[in-house]
Amino acid sequence: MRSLVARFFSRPFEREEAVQEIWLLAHRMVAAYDPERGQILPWLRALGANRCKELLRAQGRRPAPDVNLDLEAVAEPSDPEQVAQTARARAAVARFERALGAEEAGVFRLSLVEERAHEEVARAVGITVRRCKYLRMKLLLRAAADAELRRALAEVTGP
Amino acid sequence: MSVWFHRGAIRRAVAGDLSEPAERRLRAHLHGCQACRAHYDELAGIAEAFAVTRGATGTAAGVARERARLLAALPSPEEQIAGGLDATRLPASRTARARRPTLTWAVAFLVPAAAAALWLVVRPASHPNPPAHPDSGAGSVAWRGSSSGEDPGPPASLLVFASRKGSSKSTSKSTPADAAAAPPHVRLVADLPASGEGRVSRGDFVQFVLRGLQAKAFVTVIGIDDEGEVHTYVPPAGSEVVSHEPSPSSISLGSSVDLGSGHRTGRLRLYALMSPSALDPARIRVAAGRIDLKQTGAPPLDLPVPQVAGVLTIGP
Repeated sequence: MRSLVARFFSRPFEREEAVQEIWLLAHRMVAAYDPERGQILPWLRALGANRCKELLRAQGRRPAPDVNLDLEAVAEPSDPEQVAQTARARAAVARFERALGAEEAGVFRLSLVEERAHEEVARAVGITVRRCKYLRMKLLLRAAADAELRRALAEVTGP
Repeated sequence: MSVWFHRGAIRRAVAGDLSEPAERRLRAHLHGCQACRAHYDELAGIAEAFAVTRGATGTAAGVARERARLLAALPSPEEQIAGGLDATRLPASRTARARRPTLTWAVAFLVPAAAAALWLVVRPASHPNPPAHPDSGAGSVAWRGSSSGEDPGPPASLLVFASRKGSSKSTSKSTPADAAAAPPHVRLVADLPASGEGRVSRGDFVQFVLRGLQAKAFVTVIGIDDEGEVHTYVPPAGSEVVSHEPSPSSISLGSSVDLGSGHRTGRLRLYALMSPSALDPARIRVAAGRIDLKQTGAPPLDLPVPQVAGVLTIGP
């Protein structure tokens, strides 16, 4: 559902709201789903795509011209462009990580990239949970201020 | 300015460290504040991108938050049975009501500052707390129980359901329970203030349902069309306005309305007024007469009561 919604909304907040609305709509409409008429996945995709269009219409917007409205189309992980973009993003992340001190690099890798729990990261790096949270936030803000990293990351997630 | 106040909450939300109620309040604010939303998007986008580089489709914190929000928004099985027509409780607010947090913060900081300045300048005979204008937003914020200055969110959601005339099991006297028995024939057309608007036709019956009422209130629902004609839907003609107890579930507001009768095609500005005491209908009409019909959307009525607004576009 997230990848479907991402075709319509590029910004994280809009995407999250749209995904939430679609799941709630699906919950409400589930009684209308008839398994004899088709599988649930196409039904969900159609429901999601229609809700996204409605949300865009409510904002006076239309789907971007390059939006792939083929509901069956799912981005292949082996798509060469996507592979290249991910490689560029990984290289930018590695460059960013190399510029950090040992403690920060540990928190960055474990907390921001691997998304382990604060307690686990704190134990692994040998710091308090409080400091771990502080460093995580500091690194996120530092990443936001790194124009080159942002450019590379935007390629894989949109602007 | 707003970003400065909310940046801590935004950063905690992205990190997944914000509580669910606080996040719901933050998200209601984000709907109305472009600057805060941009800050949120920037940080959430980067956190998401880090996850994508390791092959995930979203951050673990984001997925957990998504699940928590969804579970919080879903009605319990008891509510589904009791509520009849069930619908979503969205944390969104896209109308002027959504901008109330900004007002709340402004009041919280500017009023004490102004009072302190007054006290310093005219100390012997000063009145550091000038009475607020009765129609100012601060009064309604206090009524909604926001003593801490935090955003309490919309006072309730107004859900608008529609059913096409002639569809089976739907009549002009259909109730939410009837409609729930025939879900394919009833559709949710608006969830105000979240959706902001909805589309219906003159061939529809509409039914109003209040959801998530935060405080005991007398509820009035009116519509104002493009010609300025005021339609009072709740209470129905000849009935007294009744109060409703706060409830997280759905409250059906009277019988359905036939849009083919007495309604024009075009925009219908819809208002649900939730007042602590019964409102004088004449006062509502005066406030309705003051709104600018050329303005897009549904500008707030000049009444010092919590209100939820949106636009229903009535097609032929």
